[in-house]
Amino acid sequence: MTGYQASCPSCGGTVVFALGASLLRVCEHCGSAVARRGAKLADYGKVADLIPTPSVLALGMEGRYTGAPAFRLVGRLQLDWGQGTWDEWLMGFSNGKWAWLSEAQGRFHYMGQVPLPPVPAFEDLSVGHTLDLGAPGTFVVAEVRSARFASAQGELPFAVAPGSAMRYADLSGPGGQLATLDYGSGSAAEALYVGREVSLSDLGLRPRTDDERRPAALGESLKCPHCAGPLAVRAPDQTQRIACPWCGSLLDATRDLAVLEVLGTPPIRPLVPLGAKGRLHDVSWTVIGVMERSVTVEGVRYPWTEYLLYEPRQGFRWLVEARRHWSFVQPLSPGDVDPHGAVYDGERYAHFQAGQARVDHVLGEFYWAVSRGETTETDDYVKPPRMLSKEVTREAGAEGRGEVNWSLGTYLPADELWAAFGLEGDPPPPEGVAPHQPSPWSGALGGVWVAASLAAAAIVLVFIVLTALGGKTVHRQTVSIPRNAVSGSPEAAAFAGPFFVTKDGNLQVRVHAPVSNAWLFLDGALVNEETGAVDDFDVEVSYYSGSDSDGSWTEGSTTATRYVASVPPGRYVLRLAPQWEAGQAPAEYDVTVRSGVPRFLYAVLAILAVLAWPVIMLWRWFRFEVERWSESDHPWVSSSEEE
Amino acid sequence: MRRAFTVYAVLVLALYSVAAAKGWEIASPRRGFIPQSVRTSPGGYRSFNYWRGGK
Repeated sequence: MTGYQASCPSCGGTVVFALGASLLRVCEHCGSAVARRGAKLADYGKVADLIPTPSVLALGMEGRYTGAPAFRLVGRLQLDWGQGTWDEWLMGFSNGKWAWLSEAQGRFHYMGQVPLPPVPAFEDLSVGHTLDLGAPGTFVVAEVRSARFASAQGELPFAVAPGSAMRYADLSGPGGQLATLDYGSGSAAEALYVGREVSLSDLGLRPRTDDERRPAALGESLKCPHCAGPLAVRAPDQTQRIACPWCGSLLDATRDLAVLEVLGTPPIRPLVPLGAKGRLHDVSWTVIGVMERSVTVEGVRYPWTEYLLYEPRQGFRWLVEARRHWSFVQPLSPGDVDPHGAVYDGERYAHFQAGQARVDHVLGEFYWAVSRGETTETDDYVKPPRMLSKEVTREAGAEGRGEVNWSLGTYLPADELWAAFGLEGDPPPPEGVAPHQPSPWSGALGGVWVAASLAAAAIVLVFIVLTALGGKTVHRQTVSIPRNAVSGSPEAAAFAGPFFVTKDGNLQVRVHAPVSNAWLFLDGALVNEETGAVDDFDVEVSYYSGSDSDGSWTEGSTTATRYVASVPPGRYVLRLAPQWEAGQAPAEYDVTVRSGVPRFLYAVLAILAVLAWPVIMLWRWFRFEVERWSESDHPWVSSSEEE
Repeated sequence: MRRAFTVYAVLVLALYSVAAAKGWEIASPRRGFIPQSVRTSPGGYRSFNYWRGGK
C-alpha cells in the first residue's frame, strides 16, 4: 500500500493515509478526525475514546482472504445503535482495494463493495420484505436502523464527522450471503456491500489473547453493585446485560455493571439452573441466561421460558420450555427462509400462531441489551418436530425500522434433556400437545395404511380363489308338501338326498318357495349317514307385498339361505320339517345344497378387522392434531364443537 | 407400530383363509350325534319319534 503523508490540521502531527481510498484518518496524536478533500485536509473534530468492546482484532493485523491479495487492518469504526456497539474493521488490500470486516457478538462478516442497483429510499424499507439486488440475488431486509458514529481508529473510506448518524439496512441472502445498504445520513442509498460470514482462520487472522480486550467490568470476581451478591459471568466476551439472580437488578455489562433497572427478584424458578452444563448435539452447552416471555391472547397470558445456551466456538442457542415441552432452538439466517409461505431447507411450514411476545422476567447473562417489557411480533410455523419462528422487533415510531430474526426449534423430549444436563429426578410431565410435538401416530400411519390395503387385497384374493375353487352344487331337489298335511306334522316332513360331500367345508342350503304374503319355516337337520352326526339348522322364507298411500311395497324374499359349518366329506341327507302360515301352504319348495361356499360377509368382516387398526390410529392421530391446533390461530375444530 | 400391525394383519388374513377354507361359521350350533341304538333300529333316524324326542 502506498501512503499519503500530511500534517494534522489540529495538532500538526504527522498523519499517514496508507490506503489510497481513505478519506478520513484519526490523528494518532490528538484524536482528531482528519478528512482528505483533494489536496487539502479538514478537521472534523475530536473522535471519542474507543468503547471497550470484546473485539479480538487490532489495527495492523495482517491476513489473506481466499483469492485476494494480502490485507492489513487499517481502520476501525465503532457504531452504536442505541442498545449496543459493534466494530467495523477496514481491510486494506495490497492492491489498494478495501473491504469491511464486521465484528459483532464474536461473529465476523466479510463485506465487499459492489455496484449499487436501484433500491428503495431508506424510509420505504421495511424489515422482512425482500429486495432484488441484481447479480447477488434476492435478499431479505433483516435490519433497518440508524447508528451513530461512536468512535474510530486509523483510516476510513468516507469522510464523516464523529457523532454523525449513519443509516443502514442489513440484508440476508441465499446461501448465507449478507449485504449492507449504506444510506449515510440521507434517504438515498450510497453504497452496497455484499459478503458472508467468515471465521478468523478463513482470513488468516489470529485473535488477540491479551486481557485488554475484555471489558473492565467483567473481571474475575464480580458483585452486583445493588445487592453485592456474587455474579458468575460465563460469557464475558459476549455479555451485554446481566440480570442479577439475587436481587433481579439489570446491569450493563459494557459499562462497569451500571445498574440500569432494579427489577426485584424475578418470580421464576428455572427448571434447568443457571450454570448447568449439558451435552446436546455433540456440543457442551452452558446455561447462562433465563428469560420468561409471554403472549396474551383474549386476556389469557401464555408464558414460556427461554434458556440461553452458550459455547465459545458455537455461539448461542436456546432451550425453550412451554407447558413442560422442550425445544432446542438455533438461529437462522433470514435469507435462508422464504418468507412467502415459510419455506426453509425445501420444506414448507404451516402457520401456527401470531402474537406479541413480551419479556416478563430475566435472569443471568444476555448477549444483547435485553430489557423487561421488550416486545416483538412473533409468527410461529410448524412442521413437527420442528418449529420455524419469526420475530420482528420494530423501532417505536418507525414502522419499517427494526430487525427480523428467524430461528428453528426442534422438539426435545424432556427425558433426553434431563439426561443431557444430568438433572435430578424425573422431568415434569408435559401438558397437552406442543405445536411441533411429533405425533406418535403420524409416523406409522402411512405404512400401516399401506399394509392394511395389502392385507385387504389379500383377503379379497383369497375370497376370489376359494369362490372359484368351491361352490360346488352337491344336491338339488324339489320337495312336495302333501296336500292335506298339517303344518309341523310328521306327514309334512321330508328327507332330501342322499348326496355326497367330497371336501371339507361349509354347506350352503338354499330354499326357494313360491310364497306370497305368507311364510314357510323349515326345521332342518343335516345327517351324516356314515357317522350319525347331525347339524341342526332352520330356514325361513317369507315374502309379503302390497300397496298403501306411499305406493307399492315388498318385504322379504322367496329365497332364503343357511350355512352349516365345517361339514366333513361323507354321505348326507337333509331332514326338512316345514311349518307354514295357516292356509298358505306352498305345494312344493326347492332345496339346493352347495359345498365349500366362501361367505362374502366373512370376507367383509375380515377386511373390517384389518382396517379397524388404521382407522383407530387415524382417529387418534386426528384427536392429537385437533389438540395441537386448538391453541393455534387455525384450530381444526372450533371450541363450541369441542364442547 | 407398523410391525405390530403387520403381525396382526397376517393373523387376520390367516384366520380368514383357514376359516373360509374349512367353512367355519360364527355361532354355529353344536353338532349332535344319533345314538348307535337309533341308527341300528328299524326306521332309524327317519322315524318321527326320534326327531320328536331329539328336538
